[in-house]
Amino acid sequence: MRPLLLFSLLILGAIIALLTALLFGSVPLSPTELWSVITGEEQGITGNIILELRLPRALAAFAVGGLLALAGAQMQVLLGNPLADPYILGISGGAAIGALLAMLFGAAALGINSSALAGALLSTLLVFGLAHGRGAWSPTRLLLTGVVVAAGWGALISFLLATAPHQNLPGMLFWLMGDLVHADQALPGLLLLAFGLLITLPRARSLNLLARGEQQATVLGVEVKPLRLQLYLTASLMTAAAVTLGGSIGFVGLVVPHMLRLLVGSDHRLLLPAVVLGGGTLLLLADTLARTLLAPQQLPVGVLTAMLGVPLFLYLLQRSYR
Amino acid sequence: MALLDVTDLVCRVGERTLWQGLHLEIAPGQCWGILGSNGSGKTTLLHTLAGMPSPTTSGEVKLMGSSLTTLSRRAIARQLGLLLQDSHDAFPESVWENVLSGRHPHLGRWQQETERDHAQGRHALGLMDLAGLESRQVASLSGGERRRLAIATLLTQDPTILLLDEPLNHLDLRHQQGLLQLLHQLCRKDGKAVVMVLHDPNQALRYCDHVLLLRGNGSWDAGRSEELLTTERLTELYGCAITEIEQNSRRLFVPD
Repeated sequence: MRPLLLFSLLILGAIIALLTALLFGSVPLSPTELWSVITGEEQGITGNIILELRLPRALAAFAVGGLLALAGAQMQVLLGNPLADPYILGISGGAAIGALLAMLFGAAALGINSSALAGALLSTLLVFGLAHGRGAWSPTRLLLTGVVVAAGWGALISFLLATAPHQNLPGMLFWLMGDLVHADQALPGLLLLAFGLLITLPRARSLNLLARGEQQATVLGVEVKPLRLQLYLTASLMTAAAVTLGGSIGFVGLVVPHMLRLLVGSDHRLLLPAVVLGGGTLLLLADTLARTLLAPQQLPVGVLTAMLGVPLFLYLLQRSYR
Repeated sequence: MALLDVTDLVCRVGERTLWQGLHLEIAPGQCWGILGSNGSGKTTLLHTLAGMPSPTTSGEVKLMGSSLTTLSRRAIARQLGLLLQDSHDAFPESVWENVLSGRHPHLGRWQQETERDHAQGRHALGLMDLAGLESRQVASLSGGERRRLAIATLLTQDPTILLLDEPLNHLDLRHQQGLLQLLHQLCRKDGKAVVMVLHDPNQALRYCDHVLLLRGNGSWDAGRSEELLTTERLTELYGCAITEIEQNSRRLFVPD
């Protein structure tokens, strides 16, 4: 597809998703009501719902989706494996341990978020230190270390769930499934998203080469070691931020880069901005569905991304191995 | 001045010394063939010449007077290109994206390819008989087409020194001849230098003005092809009897 057309469609999709998110919820609003809020005529309860509840959450959902998709695209190149996702190296597991512990100790939202962030960063450093160690730093070693650390976190999560008091369980499970209920701060996520894109875009051509393997990239003038380090750190930081905001929301980071590779090809100069738009839009739509399907009850958004993501991904897999 | 200046290069793998005390001077216009049995360190040598030394090698390689270790990969890639023995593709990519990536070292961070870069890519695809395949996925190409694409990408990179690791792999006879003639011309007319790993002494004799024989036991020979390529040396190098026949006043080596 032509890049200009594709980006117009992606931006249009994002705007439509945003408007949908603002209109629908436990109290559906009409487009005229939305318009009067946008123009500033209406400042009553409808204005409050839109500006203080729905808009921050919609923007946060977009930021989280964009962060996950961007981190996923980078992680796939870093590990040289198109089936990698942002959580593969155990970052979400570390964040989950942090969040669940904070919940057990009765912390409020801020405490849970900072604890999750601390867990994610700790896990990032742990995997990096173990994979770096002595000797060569190869994607295989990084992958194996990350997968094993992630398995360790998984066991700890099960332990916490098995021993936690019953009244804490629903909150903990919701967090694990990915949940944007507490995502009322969009600005940090959006800023980090812009920062991540700004840092990765000038290296997009190098990513194209690294995707072809370390030696080919080196031969064509890429300093592979610093590039890998930068990829690892930015992808980890973005994943940590996304997980802190929305819990471990699955499949966005895996499926979105794949879908867009089918549409724009593998040139990361187009792919990276495209996955940000695509990931943000997908999660925004999923979150709107999560809020409205069983309203007033809210579903964890991770359930919806997985429900959309599993069949989509299996379909893509069938296609690529045909 | 020599394009590549190699001093006192040593390669040790475990207890074995593959080559030691290796000295080479590669000048513009020269075409070198590296011959040796499997495992004699031909690929390792090419990688070392490209500044990608393995832990098993030591010594110094200078590119136009500066040691490779002091140069950035980008600076190296603008002067020196290496055709790897194998290419692998984990991610989908089109032929055009692949060939255009040869311009990477010549472009700044935010720079896009210009019409000139595109022209170079098209020219290289034409030379490698791949014109018209631009939009094909690399994964859908045949083995020989992939090999020619890798060479086209190297030609698009347009380095002064071309290192090629078994460039003829997967190529049919016509494309083998075509490539060898093209490389020969690049040396003669454009003043490039070519160093390639070959397995056929006849091709080395015909298209390379210099050869390097690696015996895999530490010893090596470098010099003009017509002097160095003899039945005795080749018999010893490959460990099988090789005789020489003459046809249309051309020397040909055949296994006995």
